[in-house]
Amino acid sequence: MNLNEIQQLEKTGKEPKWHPSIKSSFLFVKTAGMRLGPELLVLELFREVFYHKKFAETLAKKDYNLEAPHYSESEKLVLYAVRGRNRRARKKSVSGAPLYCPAYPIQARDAWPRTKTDRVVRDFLLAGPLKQYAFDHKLNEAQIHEISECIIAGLVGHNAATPKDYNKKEFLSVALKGIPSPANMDLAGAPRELVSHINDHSDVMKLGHPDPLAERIAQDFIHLCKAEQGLGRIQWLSLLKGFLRLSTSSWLLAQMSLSIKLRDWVLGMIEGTIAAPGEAEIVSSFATRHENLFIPNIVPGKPAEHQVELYMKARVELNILLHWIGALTGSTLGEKQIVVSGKSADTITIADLLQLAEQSAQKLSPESKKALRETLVRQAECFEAWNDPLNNGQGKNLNEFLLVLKRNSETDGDQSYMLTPAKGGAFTVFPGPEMLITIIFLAAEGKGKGTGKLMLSDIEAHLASYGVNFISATARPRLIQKLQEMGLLKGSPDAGDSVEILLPIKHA
Amino acid sequence: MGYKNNQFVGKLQGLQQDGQAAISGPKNWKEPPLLEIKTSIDETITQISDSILTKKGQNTKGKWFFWIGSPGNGKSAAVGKLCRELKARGCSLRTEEGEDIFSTGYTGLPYKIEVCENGEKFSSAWLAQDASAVKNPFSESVDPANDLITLLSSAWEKGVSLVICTNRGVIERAARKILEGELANQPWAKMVKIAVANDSPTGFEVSGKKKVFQLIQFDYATLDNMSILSGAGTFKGLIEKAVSGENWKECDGCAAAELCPYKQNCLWLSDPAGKSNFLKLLQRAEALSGQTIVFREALGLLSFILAGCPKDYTTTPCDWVAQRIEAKDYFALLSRRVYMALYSSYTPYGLEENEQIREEQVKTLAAFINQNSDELLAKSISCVTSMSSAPSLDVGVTRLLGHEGIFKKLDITVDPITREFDTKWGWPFEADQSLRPFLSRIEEICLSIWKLMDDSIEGQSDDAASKIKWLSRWATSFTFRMGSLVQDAHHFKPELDEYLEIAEIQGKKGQLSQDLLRKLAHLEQHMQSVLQTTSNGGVPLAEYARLEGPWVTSELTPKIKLKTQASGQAIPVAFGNSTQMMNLSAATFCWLAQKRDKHVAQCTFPEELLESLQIAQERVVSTSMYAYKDSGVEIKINTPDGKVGVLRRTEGDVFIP
Repeated sequence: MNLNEIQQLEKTGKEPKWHPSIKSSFLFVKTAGMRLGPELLVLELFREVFYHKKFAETLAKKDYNLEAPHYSESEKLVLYAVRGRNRRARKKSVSGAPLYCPAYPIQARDAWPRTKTDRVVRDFLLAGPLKQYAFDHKLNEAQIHEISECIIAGLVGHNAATPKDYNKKEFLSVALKGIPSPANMDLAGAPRELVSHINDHSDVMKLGHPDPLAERIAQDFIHLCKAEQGLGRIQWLSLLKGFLRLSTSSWLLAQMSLSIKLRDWVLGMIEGTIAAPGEAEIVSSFATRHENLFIPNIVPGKPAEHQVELYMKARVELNILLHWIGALTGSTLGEKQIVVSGKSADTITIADLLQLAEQSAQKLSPESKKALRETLVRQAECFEAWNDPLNNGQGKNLNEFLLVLKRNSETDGDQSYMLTPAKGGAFTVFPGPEMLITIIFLAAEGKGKGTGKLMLSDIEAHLASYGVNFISATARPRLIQKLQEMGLLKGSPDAGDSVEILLPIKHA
Repeated sequence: MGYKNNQFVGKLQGLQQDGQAAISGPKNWKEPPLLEIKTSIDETITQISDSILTKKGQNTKGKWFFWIGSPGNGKSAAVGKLCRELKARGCSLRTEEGEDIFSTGYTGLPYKIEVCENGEKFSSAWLAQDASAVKNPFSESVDPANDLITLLSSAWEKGVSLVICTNRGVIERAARKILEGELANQPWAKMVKIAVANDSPTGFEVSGKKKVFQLIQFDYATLDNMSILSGAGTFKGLIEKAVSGENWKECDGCAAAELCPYKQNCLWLSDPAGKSNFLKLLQRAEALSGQTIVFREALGLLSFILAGCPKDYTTTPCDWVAQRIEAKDYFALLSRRVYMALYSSYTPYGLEENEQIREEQVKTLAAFINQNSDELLAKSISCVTSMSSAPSLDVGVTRLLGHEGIFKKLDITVDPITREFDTKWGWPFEADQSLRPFLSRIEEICLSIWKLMDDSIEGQSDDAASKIKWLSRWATSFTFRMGSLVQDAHHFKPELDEYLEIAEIQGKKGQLSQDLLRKLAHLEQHMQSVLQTTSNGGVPLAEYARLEGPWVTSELTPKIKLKTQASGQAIPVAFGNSTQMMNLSAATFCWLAQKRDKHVAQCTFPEELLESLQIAQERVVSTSMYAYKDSGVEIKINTPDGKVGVLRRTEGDVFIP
């Protein structure tokens, strides 16, 4: 059979329509979009968990309007205290409105994203790593509820004041104590809302063992929410912002890399250039998908753009390849969901899919097989998302979202960045001071008490578990120097990863 | 009189960081180390060698001993000494494959050494000289922590004595693995936990049959923060051993002796004042760096000062000296003098550091050579300007000697030179015989060459100013540094002395002097003012919010809090009544002291030092529970329109005053 005889793929937007076997599977990457700063992630988190209405009813998002009469002077000051950088104004001479961050869920009542927008906090945190974690650990509903309660307690504030009870309560919450709860807000129903996201096994990745990335993100989120009890809200929010920035970006990039891996295998199997990977290899490859997502370096590059470009091309190609396999083998691939393991009538494992890919190759004429890559490129070229992934379709959105890791300017006070702009639209990858503090704090929380001192190796391992790998020859000395400058290093000069790290923030 | 070859100088080269003797292992354990001195570890070694053996069944209590420390601080060398003591007691020491580690030709680095007593077939003790290394580097999963766990488990199984040396990182990783797993209740797991948590060591009963010992006494030693410059005088001992007369006897009668920088450096360090200033300088360097100088660094430094850089040599250091003398490359010899080795080994011939500026300097120096030039001047300056045989800049110990090293931060040339110092050590420089032994024949010859150059400028008008400038800059790059070491005067010297004085006074009996108390009070005031200026008062909580109020003033004001027990080279600072302490780094102290004494501008304070102070304050704030105090706390907030808003808390409630 000749590949050109197969009916062309249906187009949706600027790329081929998702193959049904992917759309319902763990491989499906949900959409993302620009977030101007981590403050918007906090806002989104509060709206996702505590509000019935998550988004605006119109396409226009709603920003804070502090001129509104219901804002007390105290509440305004709380919003000013934890605000982020100023937005870029249209006119260069004036500065734009600040990015406000709600200190408590109640402060999320008057601002929300536009309707039908991407939901990165839901997709890349609550129904992403948290859901995967609950599945991996076979948590029952009661256990998931317990975790949800723990998270809610942190988000609501363990020591938040009420109008009648404010002695020894958290400072900012006392300043906000008189604000009436809006009808749209549902504190009591928040755990249920969270459970609904987490307790759903529909598109989890069944590795047979806990997924390391989900494990790390979920545990850190739980530790962070528990630690709220002993910290001032301002410091805790700073940690939360750093965490949300890194965890959502890492999860997205890691999910993207799955399609790249699968495309390579499927293409290799049809071409007959690779041997079918065993299940162990597949599982190991997927479980380590987050490795080297960010490689700190002093040489500027375009790491996020590069990843998005690779992914978008792989995504288009994978959809075409799956469409071909279905057509060539006459199988019911389109009615099945791709899984790593756990074969059933409705699913197809990666191993079986690769076998199917191999079988499909037998149906191809020698000429078609020889011109496989060329044909794939010719067909992929029909889609803008493949030709110019960073400016068309989902690639543009994904790339814009990943800029949440970017430092906007040296003077905007943002210290929890990962990407620093360099010339020509490039970035140097290196965690900012607050990002390092967040990681050190989380590494110490993860390590727990009574397990010895916190070492550089713990920090490196924690960063690596988010895909930030210090493998470049120049990056590690720079990390050591940075920690030394921050006064956090203790010990001998050539102790390597044994050098002790002091905790920058400790909760009581 | 001909040139001679001093074998000792050749051997010293092996102590450089990439030298053969830098890594301690069985191949260099056969003989005592080149610079063997008595240290506090020796006593421990004797105790261990006595208690790990069964002594034909007389001893039923074995010993497990963990040496925990950083790389290079002498753990493996200690095991080497232990092995020699055990051999002297008649034990055989062999690898797992049965090879005698002291046999001729054995060059391996065994993970485990088995100690067999007096012809016994089975071992009664195991030694792991570097448990931080992986047992099998070709294994698919290399993890020294796993190897350590296996070693501990199997040693316990056999009931043998065990001595291990390990980096802290490895034992902590092993501890984590053990605590997470099913092995947590094993006696050996408890030993690891004790060592990691710094708990009191104890004994453990060995159950089961066919065990070598019935009881194991556990002990450990941490070498992480042990300075070899203070206390027992280990570094001083190393110097004395290195410069001892017998090691340099071979130089007697050598034609190069007077012009040999190594022999002359030896004489410098043999002089009581020279040695004392050198040690004081190192102690200050250690304090400024905030990290202890480990054995390997100390040996590397001594090796460089007394034997130069192996990268320069095709044969031996002595041959190199002879070749440089023959080539009249006197400035190469001068570049290896002790003061240049410390302060300027990162630039060739003491010339400018910046390459472009150096080119200009070299060009001007080359212009001193013409057909009427003196032969000595022409030949020696040609060597400098051609750079073809310039001494290597890759001299090792980069943390101390590199172009971003600690000695560069202490270099006198980074400070404005005082008139008095300039008069004595500036150009023109008058050689004074009272400067001997610090002023050697090498300096005399180089001074005479500079004098010839200076004289040749007379009568010229075209480029005289440029020539004088570059000549004096070059000459003073040597003479200032020499003066710095001779007079014990360098950048941050008074500040670091004060720092060390305060740090070392801890734990000593007696009242602090009025003068010191006054200095401490001033320093606290300045620390407070520096922190307040950077955050517009108060303690920063976020970019736009800072913490203030009476409670903050009383609870978060920095105060130097000297401990009643010695706490090493650190000055503890407490914030208010908080139990959280930070160690005031020497670098921050120096800047604070300069602000106090020299009224330096706030804006000159290095940003990274401020960052460390602020992070220390943040740490205290995070545990202070400020957010839960009912009174005396206020948060000042910079509003977007440039105003300052205040949220004040009194009687539990928060309001805008």
